Amino acid sequence: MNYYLRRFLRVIVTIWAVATFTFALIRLLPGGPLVQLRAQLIRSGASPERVETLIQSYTKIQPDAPIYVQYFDYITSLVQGDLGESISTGRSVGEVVGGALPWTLWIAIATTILVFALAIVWGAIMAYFEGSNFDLASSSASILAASMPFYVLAMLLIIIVGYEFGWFPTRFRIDPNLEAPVFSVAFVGSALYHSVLPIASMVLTGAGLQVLAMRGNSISVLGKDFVTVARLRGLSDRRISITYVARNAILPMYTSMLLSVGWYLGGTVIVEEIFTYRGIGYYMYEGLESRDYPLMMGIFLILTSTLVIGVFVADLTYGLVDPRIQTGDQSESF
Amino acid sequence: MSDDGTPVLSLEDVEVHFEDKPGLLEFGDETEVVRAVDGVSIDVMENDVVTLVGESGCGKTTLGKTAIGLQRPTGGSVKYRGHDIWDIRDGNSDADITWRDVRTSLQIIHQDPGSSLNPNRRIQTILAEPLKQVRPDLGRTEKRERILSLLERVGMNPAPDFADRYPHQLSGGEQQRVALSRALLMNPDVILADEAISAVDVSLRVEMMDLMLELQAEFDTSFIFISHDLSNARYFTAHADGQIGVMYLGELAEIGPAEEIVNSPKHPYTNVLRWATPDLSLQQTGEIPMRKIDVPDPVDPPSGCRFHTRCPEAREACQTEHPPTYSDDRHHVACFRENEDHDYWESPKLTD
Repeated sequence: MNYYLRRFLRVIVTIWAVATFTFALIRLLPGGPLVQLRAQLIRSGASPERVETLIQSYTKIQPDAPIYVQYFDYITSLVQGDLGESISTGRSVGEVVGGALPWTLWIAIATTILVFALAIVWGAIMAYFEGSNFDLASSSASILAASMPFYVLAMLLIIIVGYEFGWFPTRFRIDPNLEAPVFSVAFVGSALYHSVLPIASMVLTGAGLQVLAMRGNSISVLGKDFVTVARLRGLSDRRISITYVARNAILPMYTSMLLSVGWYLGGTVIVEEIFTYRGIGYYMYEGLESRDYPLMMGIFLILTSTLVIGVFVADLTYGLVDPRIQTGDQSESF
Repeated sequence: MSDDGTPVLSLEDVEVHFEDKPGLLEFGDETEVVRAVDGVSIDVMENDVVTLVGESGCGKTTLGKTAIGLQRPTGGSVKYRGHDIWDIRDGNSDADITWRDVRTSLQIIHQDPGSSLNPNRRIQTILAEPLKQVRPDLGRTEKRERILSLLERVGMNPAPDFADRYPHQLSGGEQQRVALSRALLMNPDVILADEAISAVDVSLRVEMMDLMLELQAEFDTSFIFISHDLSNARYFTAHADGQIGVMYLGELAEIGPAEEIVNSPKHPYTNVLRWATPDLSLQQTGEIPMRKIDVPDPVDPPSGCRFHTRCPEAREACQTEHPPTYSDDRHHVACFRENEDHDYWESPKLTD
């Protein structure tokens, strides 16, 4: 079967499996969401019939229908993009996610790009000055950064940069008092300003490992004979470092970069909560606290799908980036 | 190019010492000096072949790299057409040769062909690079034609097919041919072939050596051929009427024409190498002509003649005095046994 088709089917199957898993979770967990929800609604003083209708609309569960009908309905509405009704916000999950996703994507993508830009430049410089004091200091700093959880750094940044110095805002996506139209200069400026600390906390901790990876890759490429030959031809150092060393050193990092987007998306759950940054991570946490299962399931599905699609893109494009890999069975990049 | 008797490349009393500084966590602050190459003088003429043989760690690769200007000698000089290349590089030379000329004139073929080609470039692009540098006047199609004809010349047919491949799609021998072509396209005067055929399949080695010899005449270049296999060294050197230099612990023990080195070695160490090469030893491998197998530490080489700890002929004189080089036409040996009047003959034999 065609390789691309097979990969694509695998993506579909993975997402379907996750959807099925969430479906099962919402029904099978002992003392799970349904009981919780029912108790919650009854406590709020709704009549039993009203409770049943509410539960149905929230969770898309018709308790009297057979399980396969319920499953079919659930999947059908998923395919149509209907993720159900959020209990805590009273809006549809799709609406909540739609409003929050761009903010989270911005955080995750900006983090990934910055991490790798920093790693590639810094790691390459370290490799060139291998063994120098600069290299030693940078390696130590990288290890320190890599071993610090991003939420700890986030706290430190809030305390020091946010409160002590007051340089950057410590919460919200934009200034709540700002009354500027979306995509105006003031709006974008405020958005960027507010995202500095969340992004910084993930970049500074995430870059550590990647810097070391780039350093290692570059050192190994620098030791290759073709670099010696290029040098022997009298090519400039600059030319050698860019066209010969950098390209070959960056290649192996390509996959981990695409996978990182998923990883940083997951990381936003905590970061956004810390910074009260209303992205999907923040809503996931809110959903967890208020036992808003439909919201949690919806966001869970979105996060998983993003990761799966990231891997898929990495797989499809790796052959283009690295000519040694030909699309085929051995080209799976994870 | 005229053959006026000046060597293309001449090494004079070359010395390469590596300092091994102690690491941050190692105690003591003594700097260890590894004497990789010590007092070696070799001349490489036009269309010459100089082969360096010796066991691992004897400094033959370091010497080769020093010869083509990849490694700066800590003592002595490396002269290209009579001018010190490091003076040229530092701008202290009044020669009309630039560092760029030196760089293009001295090329290399590595042992591992897989590592010597950039994995992300097609053969065409790899070979176009040196052409771009040496002949910037050539157009695209002309370049392509030259590359294709060279690929055909080195036996890679059909050439257009090979030109569009990536290095990983070639066999080791084919990769080595590309590396050879790349070196030749620079139009060099000297190519260092550092164990260039060791990674090639045994059955293809002779073919590869023949190819190198044929191309040597066509491209008017010299080879410094490094090998640990005396029989390959003999084949390659004898066909080009070159010299084999035998290295031991950073020093040149003996250098001379191939057949003389192989058939009538004057240095006891050369005899050991000959014994260790099955194709050459006439009798069944007999008693090893050496007292010890272990190579001494190059950080602290033995006094006097460096081979005296292992030499079967060693006498007490060898422990104290460093043997000078005795020359006989083209054959040079660093061993007291060449001098019939030396104290060596009077001193008692060393026994362990």
